[in-house]
Amino acid sequence: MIDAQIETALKLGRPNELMVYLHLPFCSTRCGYCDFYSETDVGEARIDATLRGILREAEWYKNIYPNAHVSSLYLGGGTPSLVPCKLLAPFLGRLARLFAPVNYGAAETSVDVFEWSFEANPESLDPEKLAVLAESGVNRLSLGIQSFEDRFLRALDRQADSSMVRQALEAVQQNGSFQLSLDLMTGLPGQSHVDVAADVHRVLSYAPQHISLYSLTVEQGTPLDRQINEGLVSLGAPSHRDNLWETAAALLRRHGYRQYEISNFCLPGKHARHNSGYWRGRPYIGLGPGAVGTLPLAVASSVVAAEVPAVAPAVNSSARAVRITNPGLLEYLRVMKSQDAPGSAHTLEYLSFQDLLLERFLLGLRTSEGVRLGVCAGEFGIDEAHLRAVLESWEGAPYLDRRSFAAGRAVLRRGGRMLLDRLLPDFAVRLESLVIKSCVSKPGNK
Amino acid sequence: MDQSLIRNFCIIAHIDHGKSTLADRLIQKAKLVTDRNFQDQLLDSMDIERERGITIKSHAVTMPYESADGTIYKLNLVDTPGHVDFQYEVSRAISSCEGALLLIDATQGVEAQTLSNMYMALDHNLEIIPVINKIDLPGADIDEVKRQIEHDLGLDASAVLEISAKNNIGIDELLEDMIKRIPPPTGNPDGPLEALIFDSHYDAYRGVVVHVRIFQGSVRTGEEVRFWFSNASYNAEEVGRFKILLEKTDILHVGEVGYLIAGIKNISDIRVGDTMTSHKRPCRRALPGFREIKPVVFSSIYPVDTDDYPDLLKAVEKLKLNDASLVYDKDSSAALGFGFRCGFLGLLHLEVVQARLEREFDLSIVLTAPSVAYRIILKDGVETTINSPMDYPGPTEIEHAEEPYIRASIIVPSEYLGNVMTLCMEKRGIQDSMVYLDEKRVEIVYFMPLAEVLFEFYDRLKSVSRGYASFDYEVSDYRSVHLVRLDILLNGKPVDALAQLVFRDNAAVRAKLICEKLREEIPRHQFKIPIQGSIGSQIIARETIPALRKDVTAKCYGGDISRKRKLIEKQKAGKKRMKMVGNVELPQTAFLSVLKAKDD
Repeated sequence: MIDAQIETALKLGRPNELMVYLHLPFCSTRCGYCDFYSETDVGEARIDATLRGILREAEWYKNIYPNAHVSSLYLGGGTPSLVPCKLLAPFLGRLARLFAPVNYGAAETSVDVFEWSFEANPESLDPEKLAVLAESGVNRLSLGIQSFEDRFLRALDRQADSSMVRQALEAVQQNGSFQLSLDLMTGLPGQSHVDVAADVHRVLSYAPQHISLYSLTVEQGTPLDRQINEGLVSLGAPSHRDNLWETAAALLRRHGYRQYEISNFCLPGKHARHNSGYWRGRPYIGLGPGAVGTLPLAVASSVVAAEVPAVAPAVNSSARAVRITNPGLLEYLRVMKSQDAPGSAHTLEYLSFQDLLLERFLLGLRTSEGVRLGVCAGEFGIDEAHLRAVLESWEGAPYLDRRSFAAGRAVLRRGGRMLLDRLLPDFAVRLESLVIKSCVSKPGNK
Repeated sequence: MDQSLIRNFCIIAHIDHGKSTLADRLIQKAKLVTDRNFQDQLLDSMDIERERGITIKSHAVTMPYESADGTIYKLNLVDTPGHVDFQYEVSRAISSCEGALLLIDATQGVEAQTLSNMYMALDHNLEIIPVINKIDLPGADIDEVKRQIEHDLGLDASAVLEISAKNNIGIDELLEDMIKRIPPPTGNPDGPLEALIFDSHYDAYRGVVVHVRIFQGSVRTGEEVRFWFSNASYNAEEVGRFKILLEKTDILHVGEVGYLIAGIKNISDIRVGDTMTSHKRPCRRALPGFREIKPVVFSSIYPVDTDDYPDLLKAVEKLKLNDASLVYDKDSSAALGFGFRCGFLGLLHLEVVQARLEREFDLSIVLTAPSVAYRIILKDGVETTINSPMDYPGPTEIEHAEEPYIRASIIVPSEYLGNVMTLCMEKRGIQDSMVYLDEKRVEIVYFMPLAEVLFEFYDRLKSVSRGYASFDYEVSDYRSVHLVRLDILLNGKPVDALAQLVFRDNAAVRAKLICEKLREEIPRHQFKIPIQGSIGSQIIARETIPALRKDVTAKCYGGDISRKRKLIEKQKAGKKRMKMVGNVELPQTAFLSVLKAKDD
């Protein structure tokens, strides 16, 4: 739970910039492949109660960070577009007042100033809802398309059929207020390269600024997992599925999309600000049931001496940040309706210097911009030369882009990025020696 | 201390017959620990023992016992290992006792190992009290077990005690019977000190702790003692008895079991089975029974990280102290660096040593495939013994080779006889005898190459007999064998630590199994890796590990980061246990899987 002492530590952590992720854990039905947290009881009363709870939590955070600059707000799920218009409009209005910049006016505000994304499914998106979103200031839509083929949509248990998908996309185009991101999936049961190419071309016909491309993964315990185990569904050989994904990726690249992260493609300059923030290790608040946030904690040496005693006992001395996981829907509603502090059922995971450094690389190396060594070294108080030595000795070193490296950035070439999971454990081993050395050589710099 | 109030005893039993449970119950009766703190199987203090439910190392404990007539006795329980690999440790423990509880499971009856342990106890002139355990289980057949005790063992069935150690049935009667039947220790209290070292262990703070049984005289704190075979003298800094912890006394009298701490630095001075005497007033001769232990299974142990060699050295030295049966010598491998060639009493012993090095000493180690000791007669008439593939001379130099055979005694219900005989023949066994113990059970004796027993013989025996066959063996003689060295090549290069000495006709099957196992165990690399098995230049098996393809988590957003980091931290630990061989990364499990290559 977040008690008063941790609240103080969060306050004194003083992030320059914050992102906000808001989780709406509602879906009309569960898709057979999905293992995300969501609830399928989507009665209006329950949605309303949840939105109220989220606003209480949001205000509480605002109170902790009254002056922080919020650079992005992402409403994900679940299916945020399930929220009916009459609840949605006032909710978004309150959010805008809490988090949007002071001079935030209309939908024309650039995503560079304040990126406000909203996740939607085709079946719950109509012109009226789009108008509400646009008026409220949402400037980016992320639409879960997955495929344009009915047989694949059925295999995934998606609610929308291909005609709904097309209708939704046309409505978005008509409205014209949003930067558009589409989710596309490959590796679907029975899918061929021709099928993939057809889907990619239909996606391209809507000219989205951004595309997330995933290969279907089977998560344990999902209905899809059971169907595969029972032999009802076959996904084909892993190499075939890899190739399907590569086909789609190659087509997107040929049409001018940059693969700026492992699964994410965009037109030049149109990367997702919010998600890029995760990959750069920026702090973020998590709002709503099941949401996750990661926030800096005050470090003894960085706060005024008088403030230290209030912080010290509660927080492990090696903790630099805390990852906060919100409770599931029922517990969340209970807390928010009660007199308890909004953070009283949140679970905390303290992150040390070592944890954060590893995360910085495991995330940063996923991207085409990589990790800026000078910035990273400065932020963690380590020697850039040591950091370079670690990277040079790493199993992944042959995949480092030499020009970027010379210019002070650790960037993996594309082939290496696609092997990242295999390369990271060795990186973690090497990083250990670095952390120990720098702690020894700079005892004052905790 | 009045000798007549001491009873020294051990419990001998087949695996799973409930020895540790009985020991726990006796300790509980003596109130050495409160019931609330009672942790099952107290004597099995090593993790691995607790985990497997078997006793590997012998321990001792002194328990006060107030008999029905109000006299307080001192019962010394010397725990014995329950596995066929540890016969020498059993013999040491037995020779420090006057009595033995022969524990037999009411549902299992007399097994091959029960027989051999009983013979050993008889050999040392122990009073044997047969005890039937688990009498309250549904499958208990007490009459049948009594019949076996009389017929197979030749003991008096009317003197049998019936208990359930688990449910505390018959324990008081057993204790009274022990007082009456086990003779008190004899020996001259005033004669020169004669003490048998039956065990020892290393304490990080106190140094070597020697476990002794006093057969004559006594030993006091401050006295100078001498060890017969190592001829080393030390000042006794502390003597005492085993309670659950060590309990300091100033003297150990004749007949007692206890410990001695003497600032012993040189671990090799202490040899289990050796005699400890007084330096000033030595005894005339050593106690009988000391022998050099002959290992039968050999394997090399290497640190995963070559820098850890000094730690491994220290660990092996300490282990040796507590495990007299472990023998070792320095070894080195092109693939694995410096390590030790070790000799073990059997495959289980090998696994125990491995687990103890990892758990008690926190080392990451790699073991090579086990081998027996082969006798090689070269063309020039010279005879050598080799136990490592690295010492194998070229086939052209060999006149002929011989391998050790065992005499295996197996007791099996007659319905599984056919299965067991088939298995023994498959393992190149030669039948020696077959005796029907009664209409249901048969004892068969086979001569079999020891090397065959190393590979999954126990498991197969248990599976073809549904767990009913029991097995005991002793090394018998050497017989001729067509021996070859099987090399394993990774990426075209032989890996010395994976080579094995095998019977020619087994080579192709073994090679195939190893290659398949390695294919499963070795992770994909950024290049394709051929795995080959060869004899000389002839390739007899081949597998390929394809190169790595896409390997990356598709989604990694705000809620996924912790899970991802934790997975990497976990893999990092595994990564540290990887061994680079050439440019191929071999997980430690690859060596183990070769070691356990299944025949079926």
